[in-house]
Amino acid sequence: MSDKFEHDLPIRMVTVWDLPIRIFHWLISFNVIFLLVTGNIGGDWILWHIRAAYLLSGLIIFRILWGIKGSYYARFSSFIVSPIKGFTYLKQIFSGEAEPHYQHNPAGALMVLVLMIALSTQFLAGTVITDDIMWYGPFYQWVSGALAEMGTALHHQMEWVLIGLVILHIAAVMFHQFWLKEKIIQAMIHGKKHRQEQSAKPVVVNRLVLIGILVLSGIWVYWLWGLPI
Amino acid sequence: MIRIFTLALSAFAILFSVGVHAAEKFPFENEINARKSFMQVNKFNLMLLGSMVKGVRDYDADLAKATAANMHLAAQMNNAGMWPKGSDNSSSELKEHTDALIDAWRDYETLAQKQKAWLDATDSLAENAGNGIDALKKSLGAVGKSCKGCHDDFKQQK
Repeated sequence: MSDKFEHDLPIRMVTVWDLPIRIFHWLISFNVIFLLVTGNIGGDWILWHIRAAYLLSGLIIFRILWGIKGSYYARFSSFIVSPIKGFTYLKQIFSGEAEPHYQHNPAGALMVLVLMIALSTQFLAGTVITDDIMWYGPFYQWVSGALAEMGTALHHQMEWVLIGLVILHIAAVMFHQFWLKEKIIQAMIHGKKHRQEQSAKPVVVNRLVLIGILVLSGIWVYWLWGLPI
Repeated sequence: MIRIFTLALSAFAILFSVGVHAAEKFPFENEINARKSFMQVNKFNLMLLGSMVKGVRDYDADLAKATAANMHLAAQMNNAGMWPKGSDNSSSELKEHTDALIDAWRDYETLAQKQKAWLDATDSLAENAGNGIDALKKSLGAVGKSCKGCHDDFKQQK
């Protein structure tokens, strides 16, 4: 359940997004752009495309685990709601009834979920892909020809879905930033939002948990790196 | 007598040709299988050289040179017989058996340009593959590009 405003409490800049979340957000943003560009250039850039995809999967694993064990507002339990509530919140935004949230609002939560699923699907499809010339996904050697074909087709089609989602995400951020006057870009840089300090939950980063999650994600990426392509 | 012999020979020729094609499970099965096998050989050679470039196997100048020479030989083969008209994937019968687009038969000029690009790239590969990993990488890149150039225009994209 996401936190909402209590009325008549003083407003201050409070920390909402912890440093790991902020670093994750910008890393995955630039990573996705890099993947879209290198995937289209092709040629020798496919090697970098594959390496960036491995990093993407590590980032996704990191976010999932941090969403379970991270600081309060990073946890999925603090903001994930049903898709119906997400769409209801969208309607409220346009009717002027929506209230700002500390963390992702219900529509933003929906976007997070859709993006994570889309990126994970794209990564998995890419692991079995081949261009029939030089490049093979790391799991290609373990799947049937039919599955590799399906993965290849899905990977090419999902590119357009992802481009659409990226555009939608940027449009939504711009809408929040300039129409609703919520400085969410700055918040994702310095971590703070104007909120009611008394009702804000403390943002505590457990360093041991963080290191553990980073190690697990790192082991996964390291293992992928060693597979033939 | 000659008439009977001619009639018998004609009947035999008809029956034989029908018989050969009657054994096929789909039209142009032999031609399609042959060209797929040809592509598999190209793929094998590319994989071998690619594995050296990607660092999966150690660079071996002699093996690289021999494999590159094979690729160039393959590019010089006249395989027109494997690509008869009508063996593209525009028909429902052949859709699941071949990825070759009908454009390959409609735009012969472009196809010929792509084939020349492939021939030139494999020629350069054969010359340079044995001259070190950097030379192999550069010339293999050009071969890959020529393969892709043809695939982009004339192969069904998945």
